[in-house]
Parts: sequence; C-alpha cells; structure tokens
Amino acid sequence: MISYILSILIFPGFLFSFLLGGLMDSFRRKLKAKMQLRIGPPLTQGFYDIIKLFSKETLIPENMPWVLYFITPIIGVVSISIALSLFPIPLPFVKFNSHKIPFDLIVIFYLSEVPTICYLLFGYFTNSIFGQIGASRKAQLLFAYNVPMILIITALAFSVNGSPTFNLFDLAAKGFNTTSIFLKIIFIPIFILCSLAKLKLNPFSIPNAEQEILEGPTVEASGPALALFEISHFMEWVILGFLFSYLFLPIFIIPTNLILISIILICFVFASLLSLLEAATARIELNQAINIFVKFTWPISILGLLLAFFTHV
Amino acid sequence: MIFKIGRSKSPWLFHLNTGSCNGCDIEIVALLASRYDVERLGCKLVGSPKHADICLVTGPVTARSKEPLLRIYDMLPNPKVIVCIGACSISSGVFTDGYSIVGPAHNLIPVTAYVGGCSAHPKNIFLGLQKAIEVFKEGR
Repeated sequence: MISYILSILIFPGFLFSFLLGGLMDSFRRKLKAKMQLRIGPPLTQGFYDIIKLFSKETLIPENMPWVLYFITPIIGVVSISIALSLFPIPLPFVKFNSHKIPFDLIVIFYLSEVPTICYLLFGYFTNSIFGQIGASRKAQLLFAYNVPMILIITALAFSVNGSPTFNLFDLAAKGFNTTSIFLKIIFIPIFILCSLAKLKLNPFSIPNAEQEILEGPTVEASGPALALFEISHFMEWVILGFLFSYLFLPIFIIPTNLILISIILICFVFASLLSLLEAATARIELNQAINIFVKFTWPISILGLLLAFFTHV
Repeated sequence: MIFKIGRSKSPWLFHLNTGSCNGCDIEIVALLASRYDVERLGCKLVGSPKHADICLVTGPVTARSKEPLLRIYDMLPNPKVIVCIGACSISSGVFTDGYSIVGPAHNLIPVTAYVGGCSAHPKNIFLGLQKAIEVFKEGR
C-alpha cells in the first residue's frame, strides 16, 4: 500500500515527472530559441513559472462555481500521476516488480487522456466564448489523434512474439521480431504527429492559439489553477516520452542499472525532435489538421493493424 | 522569498493597444525576436490578461478604448505592473487635446514605468521591463 502511494506521489509519479517534465518543456523552449538564433530562457524556467503562478491572485469568473474551477485541474494532475505510477521502471538496488497489471498500457493510455478532458471541460465551464471555441477545437482534435494512437497500440500488441499483450513490460521486452520492427518504423512518424497534437504544439496548436482565441480553454484560469494545468502539461510530456521509449525502442536490452538514465535521455531526444518540428512549422487550420490525421495517419495505422493481425494469426 | 524569485524570473507580458499607430507594437514584437530576445529574462507574450504580470500599454487612450483598458486592468491578477510605451501613452503625444482622446493612461490607471520615444526603441522597452521586474524583486 505504502509503495503504491509512494509510486504515485514521488517516483515515477508526481514529483519525478514534474521535475523531468519541467526540464523537458524548458529544454524545448531553449532549443526552439536556439533554432531561431535567440538565447532563450534558462532550463529552470518551467519551475519559475509554476512558483510564480502559485503566488498570483485567483480570479474566478462570476458564473462559474469555485469548486469546478479548482477541481478540474486537480483531477487532471491526480489521474496523470496514477498513470505514471504504472510504468514499470526498473531501478538499481530495488527489487523490480514487472507485472503490476496485465493490461496496464490501456489504463495508462486512458488515464493520460483525463487531463485533456479536464482542460476541455474547464473551457466549457468558464462560459467564455474563447474558452468554448478552444474546447470544441480540442474535442475535435482529440478524436482525430486518438484513433491512430489506439490503432498503433493495438497493432504493436498483436505484433509481439506469442499471445497478444497489453502489458507494457512484455511489449517492451518481447516486441522485437521482423513484423514489429517494420511496424515500429512506420508508426514513429504517426506517434510524433499525435504527440504534437496532444501537447498542443505548433502545427496543431489550434486549441490554445494565443492571438486568435486568447489561449483557448484556459483563458479564464489564473494563479494556482493555471499552475496545475501547466503541471499536468509537464506530466503529459513525460508520459509521451516514456511511451515513446517503451513502445518503439528496445530499452530492456540495456543493463538494469542504466535503464532509468537511458529513458531520461530518450525523453530529451523526443523533446528535441518535437521542438524541431515545432520551430519548423506554423499553426494550421482545424480542418487541415483533421485532414492530415484522417487522410494519412488513419489509413496507415489501419493497414499496420491488419498486417500485425494477419501475420500474428 | 521564493515567490519573489519566481515572480522576477517569469514576468509574462500582455500587450494592450489603446489607439496606437502600430509603431510601438512593432517594436514590442522586435523585442521578442532574435536580436533583443526578452525570453531570456523569462518573459512570454500571453494571450489572456488573466495570465499576465506586466501589461504593456501603447497609444493615447481613446474614448473607445477607455472601457477595455479599465476592464483589462481589473482582469490582471495581483501583483501587476503597468508599463506605458511610447510618447503617446506618456502624454498623448501629437494627439493631445484631440476630440476623442481621454488619456494618457496614467489618468485612468496606476503606471509603474514609462518608456519614451516615437516609436520607442526596443532597447528602451527592455530597460522599462527591467524597471518592472525590479518591482517584483523588491516585492512591492
């Protein structure tokens, strides 16, 4: 029981992922600045922002209950902490329990969507027109990028040696035969596109457009509520970095003592990849973004799933 | 103490045009671009006044923009700092005594720092921002 609580609160749950996610987000900003020939913020910028936001005044909109104002971001942070606590990360000098839940990948995937849904609901609850437009944009994008994500995960689950598995440890340890390596190479660009959409980064920064709709659903958030949204955004970075390293890279070949360090390094490589794409592109329209997902990523992931299914049977 | 450090290291900017000719607004954009790059001080241009710490006001306040200026001032969460940019926002500039001018901004809201020039040079806006950041550092 205590180990579960510790895994939710400290490692790899709240505290660890907050620190790593803050560094990843600041690293992304720094790298983007370097690409634009700027100096950029320091690597601790994310933490300064959070400290500052916790010290700011809270302005609750008139027609929004204060309970909803605080509870939506809190639910997001709690659920994503629980999702992160399920990752099987082997530590040096600690006994490694590899089979927490046999279907943990599905639980992680759905729990990691809860902050997005809270973000969306917050936009609706604020009764601000900008918040509602941002929320409806996010809802449409959510549908467009979740379908290929689910298909990718299912295809990879079917492509492992032996019976299909949704256990993250089994998937990362066993999933390296010819079909699965081929599928992984095809799926990496789709995963990166979906990650950009999930993190609201540049070609898909449609729901949080600063100039058009005043940052979308969080337009009315101020002080601690905004800080909690920022924290859940940091943790989304970590969860996607972890999923990238577990689903696509053979991390369990590495000696157990070095796995954690290599996962952190992979997270930073992932962040730099996303920041390169972010700096190289500009915001597109919602229908263009949905077209990209429906016309390119959906068919490729469906074909991948069929390939995995038939080669497995 | 830790809050003072946080506030002085991450001042988020909100830009408000109260009838400016767009000259100072362009200089604010130049301030955020690669040559002067205020993001190294942790500054970020945000879209919503509820996220901002520093409000950059440009232009003489016209009758139409008086109400939005007052509303946005109320929307800025405390602690907040107002920086007036350009000759117009200091003294209404060439628009003084115009039939539609109710400004300058300090007649309506408390202002912490003024940046002169028509249009204001990004270097001077940078100095103005540093004045504003000093307010957060001292915890005033």
